[in-house]
Amino acid sequence: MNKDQLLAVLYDLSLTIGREVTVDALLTKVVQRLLYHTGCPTGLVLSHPQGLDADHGRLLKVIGDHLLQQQQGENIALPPGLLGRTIRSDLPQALLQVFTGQPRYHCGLRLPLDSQHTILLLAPVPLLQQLPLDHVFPPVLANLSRAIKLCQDSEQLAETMQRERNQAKAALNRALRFNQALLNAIPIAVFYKDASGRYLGCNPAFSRTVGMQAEDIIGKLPAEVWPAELAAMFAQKDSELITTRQPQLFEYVIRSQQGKLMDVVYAKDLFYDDDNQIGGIIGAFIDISARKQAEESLRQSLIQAISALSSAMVHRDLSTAGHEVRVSDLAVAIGRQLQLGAEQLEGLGLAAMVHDIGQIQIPSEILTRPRRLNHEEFELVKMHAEAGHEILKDIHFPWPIADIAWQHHENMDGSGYPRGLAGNDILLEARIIHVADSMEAMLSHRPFRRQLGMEQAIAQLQQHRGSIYDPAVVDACLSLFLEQGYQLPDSKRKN
Amino acid sequence: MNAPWHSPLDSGQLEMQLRQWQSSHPGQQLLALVAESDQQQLPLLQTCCLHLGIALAGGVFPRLLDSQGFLPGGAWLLPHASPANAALLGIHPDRGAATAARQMADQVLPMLQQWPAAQGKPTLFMLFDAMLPDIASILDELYLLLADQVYYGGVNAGSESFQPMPCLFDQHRTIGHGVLCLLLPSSANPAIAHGYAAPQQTTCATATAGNRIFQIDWRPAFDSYRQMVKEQFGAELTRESFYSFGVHFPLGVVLANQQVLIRVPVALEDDGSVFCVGEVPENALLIMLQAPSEPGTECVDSIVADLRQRHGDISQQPLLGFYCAGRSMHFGPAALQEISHLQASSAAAPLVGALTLGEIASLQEWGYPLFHNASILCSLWRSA
Repeated sequence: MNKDQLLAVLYDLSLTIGREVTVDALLTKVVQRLLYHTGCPTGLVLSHPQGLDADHGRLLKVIGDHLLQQQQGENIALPPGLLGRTIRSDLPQALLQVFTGQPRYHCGLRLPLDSQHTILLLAPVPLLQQLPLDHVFPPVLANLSRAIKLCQDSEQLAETMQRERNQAKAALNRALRFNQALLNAIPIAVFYKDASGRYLGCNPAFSRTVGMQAEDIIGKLPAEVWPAELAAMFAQKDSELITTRQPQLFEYVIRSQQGKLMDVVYAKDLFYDDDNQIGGIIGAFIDISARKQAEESLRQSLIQAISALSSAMVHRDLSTAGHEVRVSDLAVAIGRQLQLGAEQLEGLGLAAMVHDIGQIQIPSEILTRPRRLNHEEFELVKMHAEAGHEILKDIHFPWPIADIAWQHHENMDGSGYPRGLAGNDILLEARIIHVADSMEAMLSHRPFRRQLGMEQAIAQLQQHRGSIYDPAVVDACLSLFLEQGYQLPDSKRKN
Repeated sequence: MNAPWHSPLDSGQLEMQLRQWQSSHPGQQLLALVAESDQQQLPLLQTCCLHLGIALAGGVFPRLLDSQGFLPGGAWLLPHASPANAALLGIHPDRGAATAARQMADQVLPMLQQWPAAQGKPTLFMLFDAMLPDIASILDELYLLLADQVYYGGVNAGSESFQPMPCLFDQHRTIGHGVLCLLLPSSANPAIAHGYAAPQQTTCATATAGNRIFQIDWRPAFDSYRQMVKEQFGAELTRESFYSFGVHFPLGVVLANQQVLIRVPVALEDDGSVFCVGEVPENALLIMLQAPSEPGTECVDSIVADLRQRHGDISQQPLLGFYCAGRSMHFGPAALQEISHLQASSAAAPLVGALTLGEIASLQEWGYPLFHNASILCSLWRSA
């Protein structure tokens, strides 16, 4: 074999060594290539951590000998002379027989890698007589020794990483199981979707609430699950959520699979993946139908109570019968003109119905007296605002009805009663009722005077716009009467 | 009649012949070497064996040979008394050599369990479809699994034209892209030789994938090959004449023990890469061989000497001989001289065999199985 041929063999072995990343694969490939090149039938790798004088070692790898393969990984006896620092191609047959327990190996080639590893190639006949072994193998063996160490380190690292991965996976599984248990346990319907809006899953409460199982929705878009209007709303809300990245809370009415209409409160937010990209949407909703019904029932009870109070007022002073209804109507119209919300308008209307409830504590003969009141009488009448507050303050309304009743005779310039509040310290509803109350009074007969005409009433409002009355409220009221043709209820009959 | 016999696969006589043989040798099996020219008669052979309950296994080969040379057709039928039936299995082309070897070992290990210890170590004789591109790698992996529990031998079956065809069979089916594994007595452990001399000049296969060489000495394989042919042998090689040159100027993979594994180039791709029969390891040392113009006697003498060393006197014994089709193409009619010399030297009675598309054997009596080309492979055929 010439120098070029030798180099090619070394090159081949070096490449084989460089390709593998695990000790087993490295030793397998290297021993395979050695057997291929040498024609030896058997190759093995010994590990002897106690050094070259060790009398025992471990068979790391065996190729070509089935009997020895049975001992792979085991500790075996190493007869003296088997190990050594030098490459040796003439290991005696007797030594090989002691080592392998087989008489068939006549030739052995010892290739020490380092003080702890040795390769042995075994053959029945001499096979590498012409090869300058001392020149060929040392660099390859040194390289192999380093590769084994690298592979061992690599395997150790891989093992550590695998262990960490397993721990992380176990922790993740625990967290997943906990989350699942949590989802199963909470009575709130929860669902989650990917960023494209396809359902990823839901909890049992969701299924119970809307009558759809997880398998009915997973992988589907809202349009495939919900009626078109509802699906469009969900899609729009999802789109807003993704755009704004702000959590959502809204109420809506949905229809379950069984056709039941439900008032629900939705809460939605985004979840994010490891790269902080939007992973999807998680949502929850609560069926508040029962609460809504209870609220409505309470509302109706309040309205009935207020109506009853209002009726009581009518029975005390027939001359002002219908006053509360008309004030309420006008106040709500003014509030609508001022673009108040429905909720506030409702409170305003109810407050107007009971704004004079305090008059119940004023002797009816004073209220119905057909002449102007003297100072003392008027001071008595002025007490009705505070008395109304006292009556109403312990009733829980969703609106500040007691305060409105208390403030509805306060003037913008602080000249009103009972506390002399001014400007924005007076509730808007009280300012509105103040105007509506005055307007209704001016347009109605009283025991002590006839009704003022519309022109006079308007003049009064304009005159006291800003001093007694809120200018914006006066403007809204005038707009109603002058521009929109507003008329008080039953005004024709009264007039 | 328990020696191998040649059958013309005549529909009128085959079943009767098989019936007679079976009655005198009940329970024995048949290995069949079917000539490609008569492969259409294979279903007849399979039907007869199935009908008679004879375990059949075999391959289709380009041509059959006997002591006189090549036979016009028919089939060699070789009786044997293996305790285990042959295993015929398909090999998935995309699953890799390790998977194929595992499949083979899974079949062979139970067969080994049935092998009588008194018969000594058996020979795993393998017939591969020559179209498999990774036979050498499969052998590497198989040796990891079976080690020295068997002797290794075998040949590639298929068409001389190297066109894919179902070429492996048992009595039930015929398949391509597979392997047939037989467990035979140790006498079937083959000796192998090619006798091609290795020149000193070497090159390196710098880019390979399986049996495809992309680069030799960092240049497109065909360019380097053409230059080597011109420089070393003065022959002008063209794309058109490539195939006919390949058998005369095969490549050799040089091992550290000075042995040379021949790789015959058989196909050329547009990108200048060259397909060989048998894999070429990446960065393998390659040599350009010139096949000897005359066969000579060295190769046959080496084989016969090996067989005598193992078995003593081998005369008057059936000899199973396989002769590489590429070698036959190279020597032309002179190949017959080599076959005659094999007959004369071994005094085989009879000499039975076929042209093959690849040969498998260890370089020594036992050891690492290697894939060869352009070789002669011989073993004794003992039916029991």
